[in-house]
Amino acid sequence: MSFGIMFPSDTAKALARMKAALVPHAPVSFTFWKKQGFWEIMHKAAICATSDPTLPVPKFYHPSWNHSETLITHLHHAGFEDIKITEENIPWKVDSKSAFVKLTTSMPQWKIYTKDWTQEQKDKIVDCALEVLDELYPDAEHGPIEVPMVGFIAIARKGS
Amino acid sequence: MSTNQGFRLSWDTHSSADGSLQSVISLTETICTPFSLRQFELLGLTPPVDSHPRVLDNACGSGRPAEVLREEYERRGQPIDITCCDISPGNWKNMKAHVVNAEVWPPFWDIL
Repeated sequence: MSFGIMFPSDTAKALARMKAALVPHAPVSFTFWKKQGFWEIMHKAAICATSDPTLPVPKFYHPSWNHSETLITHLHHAGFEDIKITEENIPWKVDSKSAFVKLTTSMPQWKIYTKDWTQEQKDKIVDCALEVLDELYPDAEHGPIEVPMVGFIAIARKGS
Repeated sequence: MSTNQGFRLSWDTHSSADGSLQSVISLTETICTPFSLRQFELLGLTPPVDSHPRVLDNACGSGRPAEVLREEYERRGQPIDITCCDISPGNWKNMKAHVVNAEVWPPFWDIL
């Protein structure tokens, strides 16, 4: 099983190595994202903090990996069989808006995304993120929120 | 398998200067683990099972989803072998770990 197939630069090589490690007919599974709601929220917050509406959405792998067809194609080429993909919607339950901001801004990916920001922009992000969250979750106040997270789970089998 | 997050880690036993490790573990547990539990169901790994599964988690991250699976089998007294791999050794101390060259060819069972 793998929760990182979107990251290798050479997917075909990675799948060939995975296949080599499996006995014939062994099942394989992959999880990858269709939608990561927290990046959409933090993108809006980033535009607010930088006053730059052209700021790109945070991305750490090729956008084609937000589509199930990408993996299906790779699995077919790699010789896997019985490919089935389900779409799963399991929201991220966060204790509060401030917990959301604390967690997302301490992520390594966020540090990469903001590495060229000025200190003033970094200082503004908390207020901007809370502002975005207040718009999205006006009734939550200091209580929990649910952030949309939609993933694909693929199941396949090594051929004989 | 329980999805009530009764398996939450104690953060104060894992620390990093800037809090990024705690953040990664918390995010893994609250975002990725629920998807992993569903993945286990779809794979037929959710106990009870009447086999002895051998699982390779080749992008295990913090290792927490695999640990949830291991704990569930242990709780039921059922056997499971899990091998976790990732590109970074992480900060875990309570496991047997090896740094290996994954560029293995031919397949493992031909050279063992």
